[in-house]
Amino acid sequence: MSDAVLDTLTRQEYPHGFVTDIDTDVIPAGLSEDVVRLISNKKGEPEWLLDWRLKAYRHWLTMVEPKWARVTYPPIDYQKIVYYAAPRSSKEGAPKSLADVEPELLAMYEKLGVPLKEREILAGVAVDAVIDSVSVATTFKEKLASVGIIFCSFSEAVREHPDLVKKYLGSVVPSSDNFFAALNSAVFSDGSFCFIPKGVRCPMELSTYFRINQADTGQFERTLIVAEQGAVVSYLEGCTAPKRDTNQLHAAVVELVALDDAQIKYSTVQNWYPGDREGKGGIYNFVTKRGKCAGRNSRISWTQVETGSAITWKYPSCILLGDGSVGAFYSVALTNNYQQADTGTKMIHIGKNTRSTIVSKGISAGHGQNTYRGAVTIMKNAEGARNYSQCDSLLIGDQCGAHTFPYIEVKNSSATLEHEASTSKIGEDQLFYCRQRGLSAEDAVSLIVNGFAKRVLKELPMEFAVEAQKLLGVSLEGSVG
Amino acid sequence: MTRAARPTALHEGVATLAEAAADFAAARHSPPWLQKLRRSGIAAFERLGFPSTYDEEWRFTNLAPLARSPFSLLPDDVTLAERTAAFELEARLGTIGFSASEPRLSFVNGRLLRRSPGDLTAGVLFECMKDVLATSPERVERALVARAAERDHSEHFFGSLGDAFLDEGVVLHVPANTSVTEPLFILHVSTPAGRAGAPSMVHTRNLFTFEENSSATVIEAYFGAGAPSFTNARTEVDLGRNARLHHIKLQLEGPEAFHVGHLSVAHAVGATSASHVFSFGGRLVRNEIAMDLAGEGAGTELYGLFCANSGQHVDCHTLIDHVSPRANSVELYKGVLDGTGRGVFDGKIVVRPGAVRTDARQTNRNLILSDSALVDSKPQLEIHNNDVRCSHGSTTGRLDADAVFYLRSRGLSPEAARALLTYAFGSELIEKVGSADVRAFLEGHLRAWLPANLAAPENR
Repeated sequence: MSDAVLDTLTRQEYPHGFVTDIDTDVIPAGLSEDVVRLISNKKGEPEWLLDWRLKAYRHWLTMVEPKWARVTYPPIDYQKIVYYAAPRSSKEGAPKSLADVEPELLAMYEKLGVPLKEREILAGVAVDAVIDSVSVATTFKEKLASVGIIFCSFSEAVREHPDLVKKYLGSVVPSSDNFFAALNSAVFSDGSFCFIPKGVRCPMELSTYFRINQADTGQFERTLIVAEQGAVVSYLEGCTAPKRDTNQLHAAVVELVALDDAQIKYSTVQNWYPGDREGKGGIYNFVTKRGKCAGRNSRISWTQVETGSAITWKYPSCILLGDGSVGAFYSVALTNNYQQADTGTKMIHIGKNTRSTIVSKGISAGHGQNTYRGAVTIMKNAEGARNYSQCDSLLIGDQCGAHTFPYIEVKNSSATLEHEASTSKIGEDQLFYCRQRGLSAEDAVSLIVNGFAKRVLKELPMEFAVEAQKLLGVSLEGSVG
Repeated sequence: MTRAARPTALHEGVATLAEAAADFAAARHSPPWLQKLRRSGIAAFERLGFPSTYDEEWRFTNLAPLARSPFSLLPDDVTLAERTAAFELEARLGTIGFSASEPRLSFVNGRLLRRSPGDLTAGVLFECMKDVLATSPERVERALVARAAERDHSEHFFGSLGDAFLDEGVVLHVPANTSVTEPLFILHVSTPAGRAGAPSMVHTRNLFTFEENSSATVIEAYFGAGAPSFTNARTEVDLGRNARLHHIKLQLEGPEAFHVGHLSVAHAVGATSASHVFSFGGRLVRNEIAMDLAGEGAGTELYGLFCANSGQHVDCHTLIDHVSPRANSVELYKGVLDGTGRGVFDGKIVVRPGAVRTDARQTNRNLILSDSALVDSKPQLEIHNNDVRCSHGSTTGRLDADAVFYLRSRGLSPEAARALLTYAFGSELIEKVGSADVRAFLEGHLRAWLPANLAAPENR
């Protein structure tokens, strides 16, 4: 295919790269015990949470940054990061209604296409929007509260439901889990909390929108979702950031807990600023996401579309503890220009008759480096465990790379595991066939790439599937030759 | 999990080894380049230490039992006890190796036991390393020094250890346009030394050079009796243009043996190789294969069958490096794990940016026969190029209950049904071997290894 087409398409600008001028409450850059205390103090947190943060911070000091991932970046100076930046309005307490939210903020979400306003009730999505570090608004709270669902910002949960937070915080990702999780545990500023009580099927999709607005800030949010016996919830997460020449750090932690027969579906469309064509700037997305299928027959499913970030480094995982629990991971990771992605999943089978499915589709273009790294572990007592993994890579251009590093560890003979992977470019004959049917070169490639990713895209909730397809289009469409 | 830096090396036992290596080097009269090679080998392995399980390449294999066990080099002369035991073990070879026409070099505990020249094709040199080092060391100097220099970059503990103790092994040279019809047989036997002191260790080095359009089949066999032993066997091969190597390795060490084997093959344009590994014995076994497809249009086939029963740990490590365009590779490794046996498969395919039109396929299948057996599989693809066709697959499971039921419905006992299915699983790899004698030997050995009565298939 013509280089001209490839060129125009890979030159697509990052459409979310605007900066909104909002008065922000920022603390000086740097990290110390005092900063941890300051953050905790600013948020008016109880003593136990401060202690928890300090414990995490002290542990973090003893840790070294992991180096095993297949990504390269200059060393991060953790003293140059601003660990807390909040839109000024939130100083006077969380907004009671949308009327209290600053209009610039709303305009910004308007630009982002977040259905934040009440009039967008038709979209049926309850949104908790986190800008820089603080949750700015949560919609549909009353409606959710009427069925007993708690969906609020993390800070609010700490104030209103301390027992629940205390019980589940760190129960899936302990504060000492890894370098970035420990850092997050020490300095996390906000995030979402969601609790679905026993037997309740959440009547709408829940959603969080993250945005880094302030320069030099890191975003450290924490999401905790608990589904009690028989509860069902579907949760969406989206992210964007302005274009800046410097790299910014995003180190989030997501914890999911599913009790007996509960189901959690967690979908992400990650579109942080990926850096420019020369690989300058962009977000470092170092995220720890883990779900615990604690109860019998519980289900957790991760779906992710990763198109943004200069570096993506995340492994949404499932601990299949309850007998008969099911874990799933569907991922499309796209790297273009100088983006690097090292992503995959861990499925840890502990309970009997646990099942897991992994479908990972990697697309590399330009100088992009895309790595699937996954582990499937069958523990000693996981009688009758079953895993199916499929990892396919599509390579576009001769400068990119696609790597597959699966780890399969089996400690029980009754397990059945399958892993398959393939790597190829788009077939000339496929392209030729489409062209011959009258499709333009870019439409043909778009069709093929979407077809390649379809198995994952169809797992996404409607609203996100559309956005995800558009994203793939923006970043890639037609750039195959 | 991230913690403060964890040791990626075990330094236990390294000092003793270094001492032994220094004594050994001092006792040999060698040309300066060889002394230097041994010295830098000692320095390197002392610095590196045994890789620990925090070293990614050794993640699933704990070398602590090896590091903790004392081993010593045996004196040059072979005792009567060793000789007798070696002949008894050799008899187990059955049909292979005993036909008078096969050129064979037999070693006992690393020392030459017997040389059977057989009908060696004219111009082919099939000698032992010690003789070459004593009479015409310049012939192997370039290859040995070059390989050691490569190792400086890759930090290989066992390679450096091999350099430090460099002494014995086989030197094979196949001249251009020569096809060696008879397989060349290299037999290593470990037996109790019949002496007081620490169990024996053997560091053996084979060096093969194939000139243009030449071909040969080499069989390396490692047999052992019950005594503890440590074998560090390295085979380094240079294939010229369009040369072809068939390499068969039979690993039947004793139940207390530590075995680390390494085969590396450099391919010139159009050169092809096939490697067959059959690993049955040993307590802690590592089989490493590194195929460097440097020449355009080169090809390699890797086949392996590894079986581990209680008390055994077998680690198969393969690396296929696609450097040049239009090279092909096929890999099939199967593991059969029984009792508390533990198996590891770690296979990596690298496709470099220039290696367009690469076709690489990798498959690993593992069969678990008991509740306590373990297997770790890590098939990896590293691809830096878009004009490739690469795939890998890995499966792990136990015998298909339906298949067992089917055989039982035909009147087979549960044990016989399981054994037959296991045999069928493993025999796929035996069938890939060209030599009928080797196949017959392996079929017999696999049957003997099976959990239940499949020893006489004609009586089923």
